[in-house]
Amino acid sequence: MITTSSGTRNEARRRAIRAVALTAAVAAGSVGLSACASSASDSSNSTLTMAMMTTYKPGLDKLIPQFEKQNPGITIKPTYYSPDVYAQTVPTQFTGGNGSDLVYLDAGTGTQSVARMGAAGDLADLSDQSWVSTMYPATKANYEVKGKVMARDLGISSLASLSYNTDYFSKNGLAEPTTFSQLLDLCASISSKGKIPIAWAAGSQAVNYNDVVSLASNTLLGGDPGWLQKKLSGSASFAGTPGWRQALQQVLDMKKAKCFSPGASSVTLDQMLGQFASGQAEMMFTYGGLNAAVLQQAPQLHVAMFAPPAETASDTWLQVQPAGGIGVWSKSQHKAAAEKFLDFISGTTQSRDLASVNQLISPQDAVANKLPDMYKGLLPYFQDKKTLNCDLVVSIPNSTEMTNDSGASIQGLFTGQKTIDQVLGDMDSAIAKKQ
Amino acid sequence: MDESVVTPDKTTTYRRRRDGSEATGARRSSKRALGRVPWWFVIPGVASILVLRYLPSIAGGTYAFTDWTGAGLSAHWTGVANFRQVLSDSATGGAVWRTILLAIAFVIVVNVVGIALAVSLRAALRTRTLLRALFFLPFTLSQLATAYIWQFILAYDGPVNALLKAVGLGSLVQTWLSSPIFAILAVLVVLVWQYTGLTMIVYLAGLESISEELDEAASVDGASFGQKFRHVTFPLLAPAMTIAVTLTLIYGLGAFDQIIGLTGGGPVDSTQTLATQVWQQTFVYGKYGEGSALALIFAIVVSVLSLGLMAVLRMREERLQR
Repeated sequence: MITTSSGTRNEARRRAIRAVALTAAVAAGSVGLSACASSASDSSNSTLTMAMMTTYKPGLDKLIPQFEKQNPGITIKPTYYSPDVYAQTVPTQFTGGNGSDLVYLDAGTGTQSVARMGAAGDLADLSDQSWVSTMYPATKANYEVKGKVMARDLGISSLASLSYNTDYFSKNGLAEPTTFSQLLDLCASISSKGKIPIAWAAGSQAVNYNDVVSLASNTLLGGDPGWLQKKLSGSASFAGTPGWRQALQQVLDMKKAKCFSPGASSVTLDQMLGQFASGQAEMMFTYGGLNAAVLQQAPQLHVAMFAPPAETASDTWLQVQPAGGIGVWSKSQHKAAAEKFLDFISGTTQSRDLASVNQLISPQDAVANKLPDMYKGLLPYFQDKKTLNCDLVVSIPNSTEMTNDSGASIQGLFTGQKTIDQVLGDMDSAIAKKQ
Repeated sequence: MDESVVTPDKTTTYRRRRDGSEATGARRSSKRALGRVPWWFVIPGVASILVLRYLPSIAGGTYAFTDWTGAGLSAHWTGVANFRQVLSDSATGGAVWRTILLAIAFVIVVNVVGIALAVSLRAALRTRTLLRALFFLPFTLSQLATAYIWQFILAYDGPVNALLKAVGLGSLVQTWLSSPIFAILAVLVVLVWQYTGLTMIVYLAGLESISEELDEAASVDGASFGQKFRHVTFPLLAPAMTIAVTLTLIYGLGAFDQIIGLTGGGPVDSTQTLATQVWQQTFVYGKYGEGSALALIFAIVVSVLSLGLMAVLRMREERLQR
């Protein structure tokens, strides 16, 4: 091809036009994206978005219409997530600048927790809200970052208690055990009738870890509530603390006394709930709030709870677990409306409504020692101030990793892959891991 | 260089290519027309691939050198600290070996069973179409759903143990998913069950390309079924085998849903693989840096093994074709 100076100029012009066209296209795309990301300013006509756990849907289905009726112009659009989806979706939405105005948060330091999201600057400071004074004092710190309140607590439950079928107990003349040896006798009695005495999901790391920490309330933490601080400062270890060895020994003692099903080592959380709901098992050792899932499967079941008993009744303590809360996105365009909603659900009745669907104790009821019927067996611990916050589950820096690694190791006690010494060593290694 | 050749009647001009083939003038003009298509027509396609595939991968890879937790935008450069951390963790070494061993066992079993099924279902059975569909069906199912179904089947009070008890083999009843050996075998069984249909289809396609005359000729020469398979069918299946083995190696190395649904990586990490470790570090523990470092190691393991295997299989193909 023969090139001329005019041809070169034409070519240069074409290139320039292409470059301008491309730049315009990119700019148009960017503008479009910006438009997508923008949101309306705060006003009386606000649409609040809400990211919540699926379990709270029944309670919010009742409360949201009430709130919208009281506050014409404010609409709430909730999206419900299962825990695994939530953990991946909500932090990503925050990072992408597309967070929900109201958002569910785990208490403490887990992956989708107040501490993590608060430290990242994703949560609004709610310290000046009127409902702060009604938060449950023992767990309030789990909703704070650097002394600032970042979420409204939704309730508490037992970290791990023994739920039981009251009809079966009364029909067979069985009573709540008050000592550990009575618990072993109870297991023998139920086992002799061909039933699984205690449903324990050893296939779930969280259940294993929470149950052992709960047993340690009696063998260690009740008498030494500051043990975790000693551990974190390096002056104590799991392996060197007899109370932890004793708690793990109790697991083996229960296993030996046929408290668990022969296949407990592989039982998952859902299978455990199914065993208890279906009447295969007469007791279930886990987080008290999980009774909500049991009652969904078996609404006719009558359930009560007792704390895992110590060797002597007076040494029994109860660990309580904060159930999570609702916070406000720091970049929300509708902060005032979002705070209005938190104020609304902080009413005594509304708070109880929201807690009751998940078989939780509302913060106000916990303060007033007004426990739901299912929790009556745990009332003495609230009255006698023998409750502990489950710091080993929600307050340590790498709580999720600690729970998973320790729980996996505890499963080894069931399968025979681990000894008590090995589990204690694994727990020391797990807590030392950098977050 | 191509050379121009004019035919004796001078009516047609051919351009002889270096490889000896020839293109007519019409084709040449068509190529010239194609050559006039502006080069920037490829921009949308290339940009899409770059932006949607490679850029996120590279961006994800950079997290391996930071301490990003997944919350907020704050991240600090940590150099190779994440690699040091994951490589010093004994769980990583175990996961690497488990990933490789599981993948190798899976590739062998799923291909042997796939070939056996393909050869069997090539026979003139009336029900062969139905049987092919039935064997292929598991491949179409959700991997996670399949894992949950098998978890139910293998539960202590599940159908497998019930069957053993019913036939008087109660002594064999096991807690299948909480034994370190049986749990990994259960993962292997589920993987094989799900992917056998795929290998069967690949080998059936390979078998279809083999001329029946070769089979008949071998029969006339007095070859037994085994001899025909070994000396005629198997060598000619080499191209299908390259595809099936490479695909199943990649699936085997990347097995995730089946493990999470069936054992969750337990008992005591005895079914943890690199894929489950990546997920755990990243999304369960929020350690995006360590998760990305593991993912890069994982990508290297997969690339080295699959490319190496593919090269070996291609060489085998060429050797067999000579």
